[in-house]
Order: sequence, then C-alpha cells, then structure tokens
Amino acid sequence: MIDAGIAALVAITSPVHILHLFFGVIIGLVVGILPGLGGTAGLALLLPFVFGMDPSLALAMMIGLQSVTTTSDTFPSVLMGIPGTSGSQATVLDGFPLAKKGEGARALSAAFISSMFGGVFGALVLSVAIFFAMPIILAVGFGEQMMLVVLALTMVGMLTGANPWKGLAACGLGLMLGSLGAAPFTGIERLDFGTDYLIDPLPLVVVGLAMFATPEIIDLLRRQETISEKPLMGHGWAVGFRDWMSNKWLSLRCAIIGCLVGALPGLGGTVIDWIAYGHAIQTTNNKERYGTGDIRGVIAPESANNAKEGGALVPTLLFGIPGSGSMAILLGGFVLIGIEPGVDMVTYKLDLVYLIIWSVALANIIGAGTCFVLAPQISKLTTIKYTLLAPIMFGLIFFAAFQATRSWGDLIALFIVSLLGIYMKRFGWPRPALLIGFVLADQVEELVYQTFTVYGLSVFERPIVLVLVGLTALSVFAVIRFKKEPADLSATGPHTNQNKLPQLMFLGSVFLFIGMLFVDAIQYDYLTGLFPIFATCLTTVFLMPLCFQLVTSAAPSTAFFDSERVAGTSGGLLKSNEHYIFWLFGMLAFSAFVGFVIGIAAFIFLFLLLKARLSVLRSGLGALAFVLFLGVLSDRLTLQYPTGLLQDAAGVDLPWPLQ
Amino acid sequence: MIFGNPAKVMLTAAAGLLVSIVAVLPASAVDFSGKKITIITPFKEGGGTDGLARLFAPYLQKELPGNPDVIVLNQPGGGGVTGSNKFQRTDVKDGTVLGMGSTSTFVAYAIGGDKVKYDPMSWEPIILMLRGAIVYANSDKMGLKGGLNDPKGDVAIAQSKPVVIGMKTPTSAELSDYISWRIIGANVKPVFGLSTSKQRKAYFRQEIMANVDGTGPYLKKVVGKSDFNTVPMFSFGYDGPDGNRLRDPDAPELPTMEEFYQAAFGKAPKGPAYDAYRNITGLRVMSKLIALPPGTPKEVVDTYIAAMKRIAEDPKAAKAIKKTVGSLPVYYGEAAKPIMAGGFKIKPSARDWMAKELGEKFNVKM
Repeated sequence: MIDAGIAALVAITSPVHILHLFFGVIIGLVVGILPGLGGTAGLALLLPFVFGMDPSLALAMMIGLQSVTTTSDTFPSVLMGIPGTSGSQATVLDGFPLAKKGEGARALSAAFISSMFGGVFGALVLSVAIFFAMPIILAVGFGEQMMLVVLALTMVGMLTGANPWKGLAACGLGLMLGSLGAAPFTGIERLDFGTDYLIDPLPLVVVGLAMFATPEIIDLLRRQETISEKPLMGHGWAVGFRDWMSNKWLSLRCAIIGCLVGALPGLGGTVIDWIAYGHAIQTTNNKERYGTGDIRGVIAPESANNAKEGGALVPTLLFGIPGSGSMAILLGGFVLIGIEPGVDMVTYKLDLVYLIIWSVALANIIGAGTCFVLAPQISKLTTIKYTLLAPIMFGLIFFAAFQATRSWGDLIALFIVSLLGIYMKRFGWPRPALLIGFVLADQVEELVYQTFTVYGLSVFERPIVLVLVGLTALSVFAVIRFKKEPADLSATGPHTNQNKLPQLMFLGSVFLFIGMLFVDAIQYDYLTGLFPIFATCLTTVFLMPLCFQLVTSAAPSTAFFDSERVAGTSGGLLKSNEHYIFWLFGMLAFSAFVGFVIGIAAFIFLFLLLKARLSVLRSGLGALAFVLFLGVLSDRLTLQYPTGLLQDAAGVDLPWPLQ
Repeated sequence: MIFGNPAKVMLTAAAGLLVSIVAVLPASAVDFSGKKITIITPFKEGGGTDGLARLFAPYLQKELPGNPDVIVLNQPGGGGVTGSNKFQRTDVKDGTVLGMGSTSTFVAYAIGGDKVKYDPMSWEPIILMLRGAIVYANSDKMGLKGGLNDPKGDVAIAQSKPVVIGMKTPTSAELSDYISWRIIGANVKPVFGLSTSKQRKAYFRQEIMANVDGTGPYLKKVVGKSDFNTVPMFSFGYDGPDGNRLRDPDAPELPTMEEFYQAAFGKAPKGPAYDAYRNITGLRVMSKLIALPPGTPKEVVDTYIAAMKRIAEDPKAAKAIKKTVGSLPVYYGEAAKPIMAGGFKIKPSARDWMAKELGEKFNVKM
C-alpha cells in the first residue's frame, strides 16, 4: 500500500505528468471562471481528447480540471457577485460586499488558501477512506450495489431541486433516456426511431453537454451578464492569509463537512457551500456581521467546496457510483481510458488510485498558486463580453459531442437533448438528477434483475443492504421533514401559479415521450422490455402528484416554476430561449447543406457580426481561427467532420481545412 | 567535355543511385507514419478481448512500418454485436482500422439474428488464436469434487442443487457454459447481464456458484484467489487432427468433458445436445481474432501478418500472449479461414436443440 503510494508520487512528479496536470488545472481554472461552465461541462469538453491517451496522463489531466473549478470560481463570485459555478453561490454573500469595500484581494486570498486547504484535506480523507473501505468492498454484492444505486437516485432526486417530485421524475427521465438503444441483456435496439444512431445507447458526453453547457450558455447570453467594466480587485493579499490563519479551525470543520457531504451521493456541489455557510453562522460569534462582508463567510464555503471532491471520489472509485454530475462524467472518462472502478481498481491498480489522490492534492496547490500569481491577469477574463465567447463555446460543444461516435447523429442528439435541458432549466427540473439517472440506468436495469434472480427476497436479510435501506428511508424522511421552502413563493415570483400553459406543454411533451417508450417496450420479450416499462411507470408515478398540483393548486408552490416569470427580469432579458434555439437550428440546417465545418464557421461569423457587433473583418478572423482549430484537430485525431449535401450529393471535395 | 566537371559527375552519379534505390522499393510500400491505428474492440474495458487488444497495441506500434500510434476503441453493446456491426460497416480500408473478433461475436454470428449485420468470413484475418477454457465451481457451497475424483457424485449434486452461472445474454458466448452443465443434466440457473469480468467478481462474492474462464485467466486470476475452495470440473479441450477432443495442454491433468461424461455415465456423449456442445465450445475455443475490414488491399494484410509474426517471435510478447491465450495453435491470414468456416457451420440438429432450449427456458427466439 505504501509502495503504491510512493510509486504514484514518483510518477506524478515526473515532468510529463506535471505538464498534463497543469494543463488540466488551467482548463479547470478557465471553466471555473466563465459563468455557466462548471466541472461537468468542462470535463465533457475534455473527454474526447483523453481517448487513447496513457491512462495515468489522462487521469492527471481530468483530476486536475475537476479539482480546481471551485478554486477559480471565486473570481466572479467575489469580483462580480455572480457565482462562477454552482459550488460558490454562498461565497457571493460576503465576498462581493468585501470587494465593494475595496477588499477584493483580501477575500480572494482567503478563498484561495481555504480552497487549497480544503482540497488537500479532501485528498487526505480519500486516501484514508480507500484504506478502510477495501475490506468492505468484497461484501458489496448485487443487492448492496442495487441499494447504493437506489440511495443515490433518491437523494439526487429529492435534494437537487425545490420540488422533490420533479427531482424524482427527472431521475426517471434519465433512466428512460438511458434505456434507449441496445438492451444490455439481449442487444435488441429499443426505441431507436428507425435510426442506426441508437444501436448504441445515447453517449454520455452528449447528454452531459446538453444538460449543463447549452442551457447555461443560452441563459447567460440572454442575461448579457458581462460583467463589470473594471474588476474590483482592491487590496489585502496578506490580510487574507492572516484571516485564514485565525480561522483555521472553522476552515477545518468546513472541510470535514465538505468531505462527508461530498461522499453522500446526490448532494454534490450545489448545496455544500450553503451547508458550510450555515455551519459558520451557527458556530461563530458576531452573527450579525455575516452578509455584510465578513471574511468568515468566504472561508467557510470555499474550504468545503474543494474538500467535497475528495469525498465525492470515494463512492465513484470504490463502487463506480457517481454522486454528482461531474463525477458521472469523470466515471465516463475512466471507462474511456480503460479503468474500471471497483474491486479490481483498488486491488490491482492501487498505483492509479494513489495517482488520483496525489493529483487532487497537487492540483489544488497548483490551482491556488496560479490564482495567486496570475490574479490580475485572470480577473481580466471576467470582463470579456459573453457574446464573444458564446459562439466559440457553441462550436466547442458541438465539436466535443461529435467526438462521441463521430456521426451526424451526435450533433442532432445534442440539439434535441439540449432542448430538453433548456426547458428543464426554465421549468425548474433538476438537471443533475437526470444525468445521474441516465448514468445509472444500465446499473439499475442489470442490478435489480440480478439481485432478485440470485437472492429473491432474501436480499433483505443482508446487513449492508438493510443499512442502506435504512439510510434511504432516513434521507427521504429528512427531506420531507426539513426541506425548506424557497424564499420567494409570491404570486410574482418564479413559483407563481399564474400562466401555467408553458409548464403544462412541457409536461405534455414528457408524457408523449413516456407513451412512445412504453408502447415500444411492450412489444419485446421480458428481458428486453421490462426495464423501459419499469422506468416509464416509475416516472409516471412521480409525475402524478405534480400533475395534480399543477392542475388544482390555487396558490404559488414549488410544483410551479417558470424562470421566465421572475419578476423584474423578464423585461431585462434580451431575446428568448427560442431565439437562440433557432440560431443553433439554423447552424445545423445550414451544415446539412454545406457540411459542419462551413456551417459552424458561418455561425460564428454571423454571431460575432450581429450579436457581438464586431466588424466584418474581425468576425471573419474569429470564424477562420475556429476553422483552423478544427483543421488541426482533424489531422491530429484523424477526424472526418460531418458532411452535407454539397459534399455527398454534389460530390464537391473541399480542400483542408474546409473538408 | 563530358566528364569535364568532377562535381557534376558526382552529383549525376548520386542522383542515379538515388533513382535506382527508389526504383528497387515496391511502388506501394505500406507506411503508417503519422497515422493513427484504431483497434475496434466490441467489448467494454477490462475483458479478455480488450486486454488482448491492449497487449498487442504497443507491439503493433513498434513493428508496423512508420510506427503509427495504435489505440484501442471500445464499442461495447449487444454482447459484441454493436461494435462488430460498426467494424463491418467501416469504409476505411487503408489498414488504419482493425477489428477484434471473439467467441461472443462468433457465437452471435453462428446463431444468427436480425441484429447481426456482420460476417466474420468476409473479414481479412491477421491472426486467429485458439484458447482453452475450464469449467470450475465453488466446492464449499456445492460439494462438488471436480475432475475425475467423483464424477457420478458430482452429476448427482449438479442435478439436485441449482447451478447458478453468469451469462451476458441468452445467446452470448457463455452459452457454452450453459450447455456444458446442461449436457450432464444439471439444473442450471443463469443470471444474465454479467460480462466476463463481472462473472468472476460475482463468483468470488459467492453469488454465482460456477463459472468458466479461459485457461490462462483461470490459472492467473482464479486458482488460489477465492476465499473458499474452488475445484476445476473439466476443460473444453480442443479439436485434434482426427476430430476428437484433446486435453488442454495448459491443464493436462484435467479431463475433457467427454472423459468426465464417460466416467459418470459409462458411455460417450451423443445426440443433438452433444452436437450443440461441440459446436458452441468449438466457437468458444476459437477465441480471439484480429482482422482487417473486408476489401483491405493484400499488401496491407501482408504487412500486418509479417508484423504479427515478428511480434510472436519477440520473447517478451510471446510470454505475455501465452499467459493470456495459452499454448493452443495459432493461425495467420488465409490459414485461419478454413478453421473459422468449420466453426461457423452449425449442425441442424444442434441448432434445433438450442432453439428449443432457449425458446422454452428464456423465451428467446433464435
């Protein structure tokens, strides 16, 4: 065990590993700063490139990215008052007031130290947890795995949104999406819409980007949040460090909370910062100062949100059961480079486990260090106009999605699932729940069947199964008992019961999908059809209370949610979701005629010209740069981009890089 | 005047030499410099086929002209059918796409079905490797003795206690495991949805009671690795020149199923069930194929065969290959085709028996 740890330390400190780790850290820092992109979308973008890499290098890169998004997301939280990722929402409360007082640097400095401490502490806990978990792992059979999956799904479902029924139904939708394509027991293609594309199940990268990248980019475009003219950096770098020193026990307690909560599936990054913030208020003096620029309000969430990564890796590495969206994508990355988490990994590939642990620690140190040194430069990133970034980001996500199976189907699937993501965001359906459901669909299908084939009902005589059943029941109870109603339940807030038609239409589309899958499923034999029937019925059951409330409730409630109804913002929003959906549709439609490369180039050109109001020359240069980028990658990865009628029907062979 | 300038003479001679060197080289020399070679593996990471592809990848990189990058692309799904369909459809014929064939894909092809849109006989084989397999069981839970220790008693146990085994799908390669227990009249209870690596894990957790592994993986990953007593029952062996099953050279002390049957029942196995056993275990032993897509030019195929033969002579590679596939025969290029053709020919009696068995037991149409 110690040998493996040392061997991994030697490996990770080799220049080539450090270089890959550093590269991952840089991307992680950037996606952390850009509002709208977090670890999930960042990893999904990286995934196509790790394919075929040496596993240890790919791990260094992925872990590097994953570990630091919650370090750099402090920049927009503190300097602009906009959380860079969902993990630093609580940081805004005291960080932004500090910046307004001219103490931005102090807040950043304390935040980076806290992040680094939390991250390294998380790595430490991870290594201890792996050591103690090894004896248990052989006792985790079909039944235990099944219950772990059930626990993950219920917790994600019930905790990630304001309304538990919506969350559970979103999990169900994820299971349904995961049941499309080849059935695991028989290989029969379920509901393939007559396409070859769904011989395989939907690719994870496509679903991940559609859930987390497209909706966020469109949302930011609509809000046009660019951002202050000048970042409010201020002063106080040394003060921030001393602040942390005098609050080191608070930082430690929050790091412990981060690890524990992170290890529980489902809570993920979205609530940990709030839990830590709440803990800080409860356990310290001078409570009234919180919210007005108290440095402790920065230290607490930042210590916790980096520490959670170590904790979240425990279930991911030991059982292959991810607890958050980004862990789900990371798991996909493991599979891509040939690593199967679980017993085999912790017995035969312990060096890789330690490589991951060291990478987490090192990435946190490098990430925080980079933020310190380059703070003035990095903070300028927050002033870039979003309309300049957005077309490039759209180009990148379509490119990344295309890497999944390298077919037109990827682009179309990304577009269609993105529609789902956009409207789930609008109507308050938790998207992490869908992603976890999607990732776990195969396991649910296999494990439920295998458990009852092997054990029958005697599975409930196994102690670990019973403990997990208890935990699940407890978590359901706790959610029902303690879940807070959101603050704004007024008639003008997003939870209003006015104008329900759009929500009903969305619900109708969900039912249409349920119906299609159900009708398709009942024609198959038992082994093929049972799971989609199960998933559709389950989702319907979860939707029933929601339908009931939607139709009957006369007062605002969490069953209702329409972000378009947020008072005061609808007037300030520029353009509608549909406006940008139309832009993307136009890009795909044009690509169908001229091929993806020219299609995306035209898209970027027009977007820069009309939305960012750049000159013709500059817009052209932007598009050209992206085409060159695609061209270089097509050489490097031996890619052939999707072609259109121009190439197929007219037989035109375009020269590099336009092919 | 003609030889006036010595420098010019030298230059002309050098140019002439260069031209003649270029002329001697074959016009279509295969060169993969700067290319990326993708080995399509129709299974998830971690299985035997994936392991073999990953074992060969660095050696191919070393031995192929131009030292291209060689990567393994896993295309799991449908018990190997999805990835094999994809390989069959590929229109890259320049040698930059390879496919892995394995028992699972062969069984699916031989049994047929509308999902199977590939034909391994149309592929260009580079190397076909046979691999023995061993049936083993949890003797603590089952009370089996294994081998020729007490065949009559073992048969009595297997007929009374359920023999829980893992299978990927009803028509996957583990059909050979199923049939080998059925043929001695055992009460087999398969659990579907388990890949080879998951079967082994479930076996170690004592959730399935018996399993089959390739002889190499069995010796390396099973013997002495369980917390309980594991006994080998019998081996599938391999077809000798006279058509009889011979003992596995890597486990010579273990009887073949035929010997076990003879000792237990006092007669040689016969009939449609045995035909099915011979067919399906034959496919199982015909274990791993590395092939180029149909229509690949001959010089590309020959380049690969030459590279593969050099790899087989590399002592380090040979040792690793022996560890994975054992010491059964290996066939290169065209020599593999008759072996494959023999394996794919399923006797009608065997097909009928399997169709009936799968239909009655699992409601699966063949």
